[in-house]
Amino acid sequence: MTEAVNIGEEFRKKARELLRKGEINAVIGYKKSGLPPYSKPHIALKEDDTDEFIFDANCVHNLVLYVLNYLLEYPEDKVAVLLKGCDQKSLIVLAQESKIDRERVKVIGFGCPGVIDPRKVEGDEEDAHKSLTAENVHDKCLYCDVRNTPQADIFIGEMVDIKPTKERYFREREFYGKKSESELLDFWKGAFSSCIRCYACRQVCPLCYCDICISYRNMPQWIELSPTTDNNMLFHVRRAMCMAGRCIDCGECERVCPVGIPLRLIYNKVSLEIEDKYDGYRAGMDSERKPPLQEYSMADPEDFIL
Amino acid sequence: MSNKKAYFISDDKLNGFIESLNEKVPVYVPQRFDRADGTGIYTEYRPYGEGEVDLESRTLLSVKSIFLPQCEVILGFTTNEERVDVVSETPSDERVLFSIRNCDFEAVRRLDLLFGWDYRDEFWFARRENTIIVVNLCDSPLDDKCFCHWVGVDPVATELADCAMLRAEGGYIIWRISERGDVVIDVLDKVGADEVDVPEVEAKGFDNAIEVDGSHNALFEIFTDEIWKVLEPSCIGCGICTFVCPTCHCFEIQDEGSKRVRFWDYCTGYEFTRTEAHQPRPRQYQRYRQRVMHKYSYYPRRFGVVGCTGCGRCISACPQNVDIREDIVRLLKRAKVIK
Repeated sequence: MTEAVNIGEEFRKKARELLRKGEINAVIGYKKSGLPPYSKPHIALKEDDTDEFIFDANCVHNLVLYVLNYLLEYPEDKVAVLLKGCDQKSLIVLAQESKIDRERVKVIGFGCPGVIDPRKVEGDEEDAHKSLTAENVHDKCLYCDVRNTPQADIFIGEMVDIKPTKERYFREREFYGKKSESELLDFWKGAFSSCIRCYACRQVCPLCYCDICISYRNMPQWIELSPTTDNNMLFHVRRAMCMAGRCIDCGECERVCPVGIPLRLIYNKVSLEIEDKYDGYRAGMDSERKPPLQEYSMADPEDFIL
Repeated sequence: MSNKKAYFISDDKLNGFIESLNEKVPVYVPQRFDRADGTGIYTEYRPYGEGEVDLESRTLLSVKSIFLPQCEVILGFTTNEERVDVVSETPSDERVLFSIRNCDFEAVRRLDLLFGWDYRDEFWFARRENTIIVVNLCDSPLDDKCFCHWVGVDPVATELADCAMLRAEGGYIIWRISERGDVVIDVLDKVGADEVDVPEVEAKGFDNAIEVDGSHNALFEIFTDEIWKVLEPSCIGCGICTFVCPTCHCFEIQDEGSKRVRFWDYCTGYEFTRTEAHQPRPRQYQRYRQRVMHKYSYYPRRFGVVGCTGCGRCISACPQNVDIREDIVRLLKRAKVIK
């Protein structure tokens, strides 16, 4: 498989060096996999583990989830992680929420030319996964403005300079722009009727870190567990509320859904609302700015309260 | 009717045949559905007529959902001004399960051991007894994720089914195995399917097996081994692999209003068997170990058969590319069963 940006070798070297020095306990990156999307997360604990690291256009996973999980298990450790610009935003959100001690994470950044959306090439031969094209590029990459990982502690490879070609959340603007309310309700009822409540969307999300999700609390029971359309809708709408002002559009929830519910349509819509109501706030873009739903201000809009 | 007779039904007549059969007995058959985001399709066993019949792809969910639905009401009550009535109904209507693969069929039979073990699960066996099974034989693997030959499943076994079917050029050959299969054969006769000879079926392409059977005690010995901690760090703890699995059978029971409902539960998730006082498996590797050990060690230790039938669904459905075959090979090496 061709490497979309030539950082594999440099990353392997860097990872080996960090582990040898002993200041880092684990390095998190990607390795090759025999199954689509032909890459999977890899955690190197020893120098020799680093040989497996790769990076190519199939490396879609958001590795911040693994940073979070690793640090929950070993809170005294330090980790280094290879992060695309988009994924790095979720690290900022987690640091803002005091869930991750930023001092314990060394971010290895690079210039990302974009990744392949595995859904667009699903079922195709391995060839379709080989290089990034206009057909298989992920929607989120078309309006990406963080290609060179911001706030990287170590930057490897060369900066890339690719301007966004589409308006942010163009798919959502288009989708909600032409549908009436009843059409939307029908669409979502159809989409949620196929949900099997495997909770992969919740599990893969680095920002869904509650020990016990409200969807599993049963005293009182907020959301019934039967996967009926209504219950599924309640679960997803409730999760959209959780993600308001936090979702950074890494697209993992949509990628992992076994029945293909277009979940980004929900979370990006919520992000658009937040952007509109709270003076252009975008989650994970500015670590200094307080998340609007986590602080109180007299200037907060209140037109939705009666 | 002779036992030796088989029928050929061509692809263009297949839908008509299933429709005629469905008029006599409800038919559950794999059908394809569009994904909500329009990026492809998935297939599922559903009552005939909901989607387009597709017998040649691996269904997303196994036939487990036909015998142990994802949620089912096991008890309920109705009230009126004078009295409260308790309602508990076991399913009784006869149905045909059309085009079930041997991995799924074997899984159902292996689960019979469990559901009939400490008490007889009336819901499971009611559905087992009212289902006529038409097994679709695999003379070659569906794709590279099939590994039924690792876990002692014969992909062309016909003995315990009611009818068997086999892909032939341009259609399917269907023949009768047991008396209950007559209803299918009668309809085939009626729709004018051609009579042919019962084919000799030989499974090809099931190569390079790692024999898993017989290693349950060796695996049990490495329960506390360090390998588990590094075995599958990418598992995110969702329920996909257990939901799509034909042998994963853990369930939980909750009350929803006036109904007591039984659901699928999943051992890979944080909430599984957790109580307010105690979490028996606080780490993700312990939950993944539970799933693997239950299939390859605890189940054979108790029932004498491996709790996996190699359908490959967990491999194809896992969003993080966890391949249970790779892990089994690593574990068997660690347990010194293979080199």
